[in-house]
Amino acid sequence: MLSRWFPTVLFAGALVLAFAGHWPGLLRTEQAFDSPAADDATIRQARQQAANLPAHFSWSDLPRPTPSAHAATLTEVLPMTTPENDAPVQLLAAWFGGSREGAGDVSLYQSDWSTGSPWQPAGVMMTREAVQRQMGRNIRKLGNPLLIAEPGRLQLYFVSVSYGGWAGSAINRSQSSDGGRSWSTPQRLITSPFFNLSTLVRNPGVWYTDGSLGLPVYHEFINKHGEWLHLTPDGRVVGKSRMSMPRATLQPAVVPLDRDHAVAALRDAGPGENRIQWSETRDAGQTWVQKSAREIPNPNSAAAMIGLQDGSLLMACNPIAGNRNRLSLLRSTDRGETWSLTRVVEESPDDRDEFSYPSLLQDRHGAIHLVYTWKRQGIRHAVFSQAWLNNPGNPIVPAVPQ
Amino acid sequence: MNHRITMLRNRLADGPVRSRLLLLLAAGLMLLPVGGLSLWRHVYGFTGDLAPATWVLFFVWFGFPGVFQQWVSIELPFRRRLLLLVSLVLFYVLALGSGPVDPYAYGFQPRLLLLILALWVMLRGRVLPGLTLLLALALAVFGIHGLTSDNLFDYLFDPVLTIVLGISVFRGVMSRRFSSSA
Repeated sequence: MLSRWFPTVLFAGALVLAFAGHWPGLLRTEQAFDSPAADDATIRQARQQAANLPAHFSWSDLPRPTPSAHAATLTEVLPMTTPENDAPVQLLAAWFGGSREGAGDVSLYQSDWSTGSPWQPAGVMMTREAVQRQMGRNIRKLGNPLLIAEPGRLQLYFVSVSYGGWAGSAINRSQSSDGGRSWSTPQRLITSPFFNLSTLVRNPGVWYTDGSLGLPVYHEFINKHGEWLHLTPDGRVVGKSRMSMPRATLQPAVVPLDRDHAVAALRDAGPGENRIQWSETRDAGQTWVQKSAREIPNPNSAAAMIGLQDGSLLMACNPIAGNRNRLSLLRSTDRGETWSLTRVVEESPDDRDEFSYPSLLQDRHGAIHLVYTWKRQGIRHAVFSQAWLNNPGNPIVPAVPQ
Repeated sequence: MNHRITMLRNRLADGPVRSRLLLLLAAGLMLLPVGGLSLWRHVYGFTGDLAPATWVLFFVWFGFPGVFQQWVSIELPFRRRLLLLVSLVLFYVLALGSGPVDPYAYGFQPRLLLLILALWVMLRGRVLPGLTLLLALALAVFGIHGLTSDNLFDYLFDPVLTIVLGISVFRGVMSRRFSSSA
């Protein structure tokens, strides 16, 4: 009699263990984006500061340690304690570079910048060999990095491929508590049931009120679509939702509008006429609903989008058909419903030129930073103010010959 | 002496014994270094963590083939294996993006999945003790965060188990075809 019940009793014990081991996550139902209220004093001050900045635009190139560079990411390094208002802004950029995209000699590089200083010499962040040795896995190539900052800590997410092409990618996570001077042993995120294949990362995440992180990622194997990962503060994946679209889409760029509502702009990788695709969540990322595509041409290239301190949305992308030889800034004052072309940052008459893979950031002083791939040869950094965006005219960055 | 050699030769000619010896040889080869990593690390780099059920079934098959065969014939007859295989293939096809629903997402914070498993065990647990034990093991390992993943599906099954199940079903189909044509 006892032996007949024995497996069931064991199962009941295991069920209790499962609940205990995942408590209280198993009961958690509601999440809210850590989106500060519009009347928050800090936000009011930042908004005023950003509005007071004079019209300004400048640009510089990041160091070029390799013949090829691509997919830059940018973050503001935040000290453990709130910095003095006049303390310089410190930025950290990362990108992948080597002989060409996908080559075995591609490594992740980093460089830092602070107000009034040039970009510092590039340092190697991760090499393919080091990642392989540290993770004890075969690593064939490294791809997109993504930097995310929080007070006293930096997180690095990056793509690696063990076998096959980019569709066989996985995401790895490392962190630094010394401002990026050293990085912890990378840990692989488990995001897919089939040999953990095909999850890539590109654009920054959104914090939740409990300190967890929502991370927009994308999937390329069999079907291409955006996804949303929910990660605990220590980097474990505890939730996932899909940004379903009838078209192939990649690289969602997500901006929270309030505690539950966020919008996502996606790269259009489908056939025919390509436009920026759009998705929204009204339950803090648990479900995503497809919206009509925005009237912004998209030649299957990455777009970056941020919420500015004045409440508008800013997008950097290549809003032309077919090529990536014009990088523009677009702005929306109605939560992404309509967009107007604000500035062309850089363009070239040569269709083979590429100004792509933008990454945007507004620092705590209100200055807006843009880094992007320059002709696949290097990474360029542009700094401008909201007042510059508001002025008419399109001062184009001169394309400097090599 | 000759008798013993003949016995050994007969044992080696025996299919199951031969396949186990080959497997032992393959396990030895896994320790060989290739490109700075052991062959095992290359395999692990591709497969990642395997579900507890995969390991248990492998070791029972390897160590106690008679018990394994008897258990399969009782708890996993051909039709049940076929149904399981179709379900798993459908799961992977949907999880990889064919369709708007991602079943894998339900394995994170899996209240519904745990409820379904508990109901299944209440209904079938006593008549299918082996499968119930495998589920109990999966849940226990899930409870102690035994694998890198926090998704319950990764503790219940994996692609390697699915492929082996597919081979088993294929062999079942072939043997049925041959037996019916004979």
